[in-house]
Amino acid sequence: MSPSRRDFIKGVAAGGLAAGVARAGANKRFDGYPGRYGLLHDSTLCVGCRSCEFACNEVNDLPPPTAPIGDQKIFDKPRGPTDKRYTVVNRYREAQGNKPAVYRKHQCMHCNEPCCASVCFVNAFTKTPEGPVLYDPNVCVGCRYCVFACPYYALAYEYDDPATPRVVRCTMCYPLIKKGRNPACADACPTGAVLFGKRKELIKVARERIRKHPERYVDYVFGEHDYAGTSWLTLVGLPLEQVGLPAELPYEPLPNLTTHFLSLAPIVAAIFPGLLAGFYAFSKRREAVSEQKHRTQLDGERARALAELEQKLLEAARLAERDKQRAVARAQRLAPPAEKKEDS
Amino acid sequence: MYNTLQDFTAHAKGTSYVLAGLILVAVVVFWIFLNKKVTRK
Amino acid sequence: MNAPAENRGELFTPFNIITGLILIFGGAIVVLRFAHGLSYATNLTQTTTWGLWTGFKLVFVALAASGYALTTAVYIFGMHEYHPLVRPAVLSGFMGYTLFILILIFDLGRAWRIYYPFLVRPGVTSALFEIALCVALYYTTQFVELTPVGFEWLGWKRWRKAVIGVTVGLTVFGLFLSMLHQSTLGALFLAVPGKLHPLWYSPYIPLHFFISSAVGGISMVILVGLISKRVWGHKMEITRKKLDQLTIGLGKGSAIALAIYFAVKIVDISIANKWHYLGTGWGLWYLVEVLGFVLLPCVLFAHGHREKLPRLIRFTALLTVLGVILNRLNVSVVAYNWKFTIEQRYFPYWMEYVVVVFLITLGVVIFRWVAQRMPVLYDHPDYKGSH
Repeated sequence: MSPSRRDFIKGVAAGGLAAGVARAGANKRFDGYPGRYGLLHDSTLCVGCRSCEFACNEVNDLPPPTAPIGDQKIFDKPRGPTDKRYTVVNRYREAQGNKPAVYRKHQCMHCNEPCCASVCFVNAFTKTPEGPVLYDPNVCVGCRYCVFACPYYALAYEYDDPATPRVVRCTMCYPLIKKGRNPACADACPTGAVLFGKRKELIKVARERIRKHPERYVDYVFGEHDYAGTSWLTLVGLPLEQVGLPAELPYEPLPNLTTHFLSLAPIVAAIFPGLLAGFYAFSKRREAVSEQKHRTQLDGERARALAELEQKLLEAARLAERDKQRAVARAQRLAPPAEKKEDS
Repeated sequence: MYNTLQDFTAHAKGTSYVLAGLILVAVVVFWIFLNKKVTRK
Repeated sequence: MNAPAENRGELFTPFNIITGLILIFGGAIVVLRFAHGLSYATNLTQTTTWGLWTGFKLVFVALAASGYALTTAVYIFGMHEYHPLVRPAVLSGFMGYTLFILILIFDLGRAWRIYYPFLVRPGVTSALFEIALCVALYYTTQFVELTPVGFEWLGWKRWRKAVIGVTVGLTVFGLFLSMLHQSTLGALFLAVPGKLHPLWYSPYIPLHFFISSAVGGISMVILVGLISKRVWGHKMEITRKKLDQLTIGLGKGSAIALAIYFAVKIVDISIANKWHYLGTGWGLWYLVEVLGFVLLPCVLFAHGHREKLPRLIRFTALLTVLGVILNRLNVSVVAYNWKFTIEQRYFPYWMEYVVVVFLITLGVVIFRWVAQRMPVLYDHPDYKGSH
């Protein structure tokens, strides 16, 4: 292949790559998969029957909850999702006079930008186009960083299993959704406190309810924007902290706090080896310079010493010569007079 | 196009890690090249 | 001085008996943990899933920083007078990472899948992925750095020469990897602002972790030097006097590092305006950690350096190491889920403590085995002064 044709192909390839990269970097907003599903939990409609817990356990092949429906003692202590129950209903305020008790159902929120997916070092979590976040037990190593990081304490781990422990949580009944049916809890709820539908529509429904009954609801749809939004939306009648939800969450997805720092790694890789090698070369250079100085100094001293020695030698030679001359002169002065008389 | 930030980050970081590895190799090669004594004939 | 007489022929020395018992008992617990699952040996809950073992993962890595600290000082910054301490420092660092890997394996749900992030499906967005990658590379680097010790012992001259030739390159690579993974271990906690107490949570946790690892590493070198000299006395080539001199020098380095760490902590509080937290109970605990285990050792190191007091410097090194351990445990276990009630809180099961003691003992025993047989504390007579 001639050089010019090779270069041409290279140029096209580079240009195509650059264009691809530029296009990929072009979208500044991530709106998520369009048309994805969500659930709306209107906690003011929840009466604490826990039918959803029973339905959820049945669909997921778990033993039914130990406390029967209607049991009130189960609400004495707050509960969270465990490896034996993927969803729980908690009571946040007891009934007072004609004010009903306040309950809320809690489970994995199926976030738009899931923390669990971001922190998993084997990419075991996937946000599906339909909305649910799925977990792949076939790659999970059991580090439990996802359980550690989830801001909603929604994940649980099978600590009892020595051989095949998994991370477990609400799956939004993904197999049922794929078949066009509703999640089990939505179907089981007798009061309509759990609605399943397109997330965009459910937000409209939620906002409409708030508009129609401002005395009933806090003017906030939890999950709309919190940490970039979740699939589970919650309407509440009490302030968020009082029903066990975090308040004042920023829009910025939680994973960003970590990924921003992690982007330093490749930059450090680009800078530091060269920089450190530079330090090494610099320190070696300083050693060499100081050694050179030292050597020059030694040479100088040696030269000076030699010169001095030479001087001393010359001086000694001169003195010796002078002494010799003096000795000769003295010897001549003291020469016997007889030799002089014979000459004249 | 990426629907979620997670997808974008996974792609961008994956590429960056590979590039970082190549850069490390390149630094070593460059360092050797820089310090090689040139013998004049 | 009651340095135990090293009678190589005798197997049942008090040291051997005690460590042997610990290793056997701890080993049994480890086997049971794998046979019955994590719930058998730990008190981990669904809301606190990282416990004492995770805390000690961080501790082992932070204290293993002796390796990169000393090789950097000697080979990159040219401080050749510390050369006799390089091999003990790298060996103890290598042991630290070995313990880290072991306790990680005990803590993982499916430890046999530990290679999955590299060979099956890399989760590149994860801080843990970067840590795994850097630690794997760094462990290899340290191992290669130590092979000359083995080669000298075995007499393989050419292998040894080959490795010594790349010492500086290994040091540079090691420092670069250490900076990355020491700080990224801190970055693990960036994901949980709501769960870690504000005094310990900071967007600059990675920086704090890196600086405190350097601090812990230098102090470990001082301690390893002290213990080695006490235990092996004349077998250790460097004289007591020279070791004292080096210790005083290391004290100066520690003082500087601790001063920087303290300054960073102050700025961290002011930048997020966290002053009011200092007046709470948690604030008091934070002040104990920062004033008692950062500022105090800094001052003591400085004083010890100025007045040439090696004994004070050694005591302060111990204080500093305890402070690093305290910091790592605070971040991972104590101040994590700080809002929990006593009922909700996690407290380690006794077996978790046993496993930690088991691992530390294992590290000491292996270090001892290597140092007694191989040219770590002294130069091999064939290669005197040639590295």
